[in-house]
Amino acid sequence: MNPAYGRAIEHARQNGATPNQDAARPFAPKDGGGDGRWVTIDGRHVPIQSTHGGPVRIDTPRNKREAELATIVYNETSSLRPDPRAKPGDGGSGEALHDAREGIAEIAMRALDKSHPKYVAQPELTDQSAGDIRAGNEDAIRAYNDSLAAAREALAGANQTAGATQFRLRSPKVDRDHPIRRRDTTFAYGPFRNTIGRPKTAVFAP
Amino acid sequence: MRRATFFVLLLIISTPANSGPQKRKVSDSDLQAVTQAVEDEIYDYGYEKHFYQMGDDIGAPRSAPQARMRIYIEPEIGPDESGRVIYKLMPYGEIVREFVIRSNGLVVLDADPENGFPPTDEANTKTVYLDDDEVCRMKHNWIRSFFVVADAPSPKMIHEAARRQKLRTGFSDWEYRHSGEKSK
Repeated sequence: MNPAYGRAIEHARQNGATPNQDAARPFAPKDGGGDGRWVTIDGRHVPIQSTHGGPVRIDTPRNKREAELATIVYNETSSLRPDPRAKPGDGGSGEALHDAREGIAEIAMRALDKSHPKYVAQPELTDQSAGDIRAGNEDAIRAYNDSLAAAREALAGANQTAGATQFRLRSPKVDRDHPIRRRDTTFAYGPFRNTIGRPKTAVFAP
Repeated sequence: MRRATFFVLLLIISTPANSGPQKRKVSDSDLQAVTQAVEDEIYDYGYEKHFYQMGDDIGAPRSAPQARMRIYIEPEIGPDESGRVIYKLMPYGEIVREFVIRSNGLVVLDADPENGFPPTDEANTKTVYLDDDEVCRMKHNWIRSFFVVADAPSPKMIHEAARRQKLRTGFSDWEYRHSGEKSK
């Protein structure tokens, strides 16, 4: 197992969270069938097309706070993909990507609560993101659903990051233990590849 | 015999342990492809008006301004055909950004510009979030070049930029805005 990932789990366990167990993800997205339809995300009406390999339904936020947080997490992480060779529990697995999203949701929520919205990505879908979702891009819809699940967990009080206030998406060329603004990193997930093939590791610090 | 052994040893020592792809120097065609990607994105997103009063105006007298802007490119391309670039992308300001060179020669810039380059993505962020000394060092050591932004690009220039953007990422913002989808 990736040592940093193991350390992250231990930190989380010490804080009462169990980041790698399904029970810790009551809001985890579940793929399901369905026809093309319209949904509203953060004020944008987005028609979702059916896709060839069986449609992936988009989950809809229940309120403005969920929508904003989910969109921030999506904008930060929508280009990341799990390593297809990673096994569950590995640093670059789908589980790890969800945990990274949950950590980002926690930090984004803290940033918004402290009136620092510019620290994270914007809470509105970009044109490209809206276009991807509208076109029924399954990767984009899965990323959105996972981001929404992460946002719901953060809003429900999850504290996987033990109160961290900073995160970075970092090239593996830079040591994952390299401090963020002189604060030692405490968690790391990844590396994940993004859509243009660049590796990124999510690192967290107090 | 001894001399032959010496040459064989020398050959072994001088052969890289990893015979996979290595870093290479940026070529002129790489440089052109990077600046074209930068210019295309500006026209595709319609950012050109934000360059007013920026850089040197190299347009003809009494014609629309053309801003000549500095760009700094990391002198080596990585084994995965990736590199980094520093330039001013208005309205966001000066940014550092990763790029990848595709096998067809087109350069794809990382990150969605509409996210505004927050500090959270270290490889694609505004330089104000980086260490000043590091930014100075990069600008000093990297290759200096220019890109040009026309204040009033012709429809043909915009169409060509949008077409290439679509080839690069599968998405053109110009096409998206003109499809009527955005207003829905």
